[in-house]
Amino acid sequence: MSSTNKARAYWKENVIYLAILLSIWFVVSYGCGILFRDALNSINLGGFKLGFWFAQQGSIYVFVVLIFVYVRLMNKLDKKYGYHED
Amino acid sequence: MRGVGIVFSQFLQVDITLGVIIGMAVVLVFAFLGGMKGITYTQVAQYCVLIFAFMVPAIFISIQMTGNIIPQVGMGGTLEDGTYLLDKLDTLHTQLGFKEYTQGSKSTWDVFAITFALMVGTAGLPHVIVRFFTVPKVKDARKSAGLALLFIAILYTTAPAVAVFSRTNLIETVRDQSYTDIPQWFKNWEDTGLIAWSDKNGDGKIQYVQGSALVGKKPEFLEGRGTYGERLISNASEATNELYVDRDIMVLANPEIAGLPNWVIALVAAGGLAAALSTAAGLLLVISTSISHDLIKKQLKPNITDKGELRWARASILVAIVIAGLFGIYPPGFVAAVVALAFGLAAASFFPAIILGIFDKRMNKQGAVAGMVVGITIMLGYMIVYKTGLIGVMDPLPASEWWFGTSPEGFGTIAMCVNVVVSIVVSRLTPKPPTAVTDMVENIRIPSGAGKASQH
Repeated sequence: MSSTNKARAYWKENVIYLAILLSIWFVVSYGCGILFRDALNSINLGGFKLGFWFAQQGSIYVFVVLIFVYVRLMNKLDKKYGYHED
Repeated sequence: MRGVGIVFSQFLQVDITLGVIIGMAVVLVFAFLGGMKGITYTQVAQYCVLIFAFMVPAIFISIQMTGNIIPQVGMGGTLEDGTYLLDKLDTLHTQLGFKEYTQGSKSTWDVFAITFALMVGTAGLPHVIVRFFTVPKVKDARKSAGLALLFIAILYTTAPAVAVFSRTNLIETVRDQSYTDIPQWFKNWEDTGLIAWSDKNGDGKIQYVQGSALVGKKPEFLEGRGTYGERLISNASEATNELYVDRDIMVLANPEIAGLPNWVIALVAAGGLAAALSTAAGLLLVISTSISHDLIKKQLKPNITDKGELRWARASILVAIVIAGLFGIYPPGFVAAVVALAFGLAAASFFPAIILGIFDKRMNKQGAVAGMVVGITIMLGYMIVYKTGLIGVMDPLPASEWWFGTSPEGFGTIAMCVNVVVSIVVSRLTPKPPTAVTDMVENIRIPSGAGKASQH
């Protein structure tokens, strides 16, 4: 594989990862916390209404997980294409 | 700066204006002595103070109210009488005529817009991006983003819990209490002018219900005291509500309201100071370096000496602090709203340029500049028309006139979309970017390229 093709392929995989992770990001923060809040609020999680919980805490926990997943995926991708620096 | 002023005014029992001035002096010394490295280390230290100062009272109050040691869980826990804390707060709110606490008072679209503007605004703010210059390797930059978010998450998931605790405590403490029995913290904050009470129905008790207690935004105090020793104000409104509480004090007053020991209160004050000082110092550094280095050295006077550059940097810090101090003494509206507007501006200007620059290879200089100019213009225009007004020319238009019901805080989202569209259209109508630029974009997309890029 030429270096340009390699770079293109690497970038394409990166964009796919981004698309997947950002859709999760969107569903959790905007979907659960804002758009479907009223529907989720009819469900109770302990003392929380579920939609309220997502807006105040749940989405933040998911963000942290997402970013660590991305770090892992990208470090693997770097190795696969030989772009890792150490 | 207002936050710093509040801490000093409460600590030293002085007027808020004097508090802001003392705060300005401290930040000034702080910013003059430290540099980029100094500020990075002090920010680490300040984060430790901050998280400790914020968590300790939160944990204490959580145990006190719900018996749960983790505030995030305690927020959804039950009170001594078995009802859920959040249900209790909803009930209290409904009784007093407020909206239910967990319901919120903004429309779904507006919340959506504000959240989006805040998120992309953060991504576009320069002082967040420059932090990544301190980590040369891509791998480390990713990891540090993850760790940063983890630490931020600890703080940001505690904050809503603290809000619920303090709101409940505040309502329970002041509601229908007679002024003479009110705890000392209430009177301390009243002395600094951030709480005001006027006995409208003459029963000596505090009525706290929905509606503004004042005509105008801030209480105007008169000399002398009323029947019960309260400070008299001249601008009480007709509404039933008798109590004015400045919302900026909630975090600081929280442990006092919950009746926690003095050392915990001191801790919170320390944390508040640490937070304010570190933000102020960080921003001042960005301001001063961009003025002295990017503007003066690179654009105006290329042959300036290092000493001259340093002098410019210090002068710009001084000017920035004076401006910040003035805003602290005469705050332009509620702090959160001001912050949201700044994020809106960042969302409307930088964010699309950064993202399109990486993801759209056809993007060129003309497109990016046109997008930023249009984005900033309509954002500023909307802010002036609907939020600030022009002094002497017009008052801000009411909420009923908002476009699609979007508040000025959330307008960054619309301005950003306009920016993206303008950028793409203009870039397609003008010549392709030169090969050197497309090559650079190709290059920053892969880690080793980014490694090279950081060296020059």
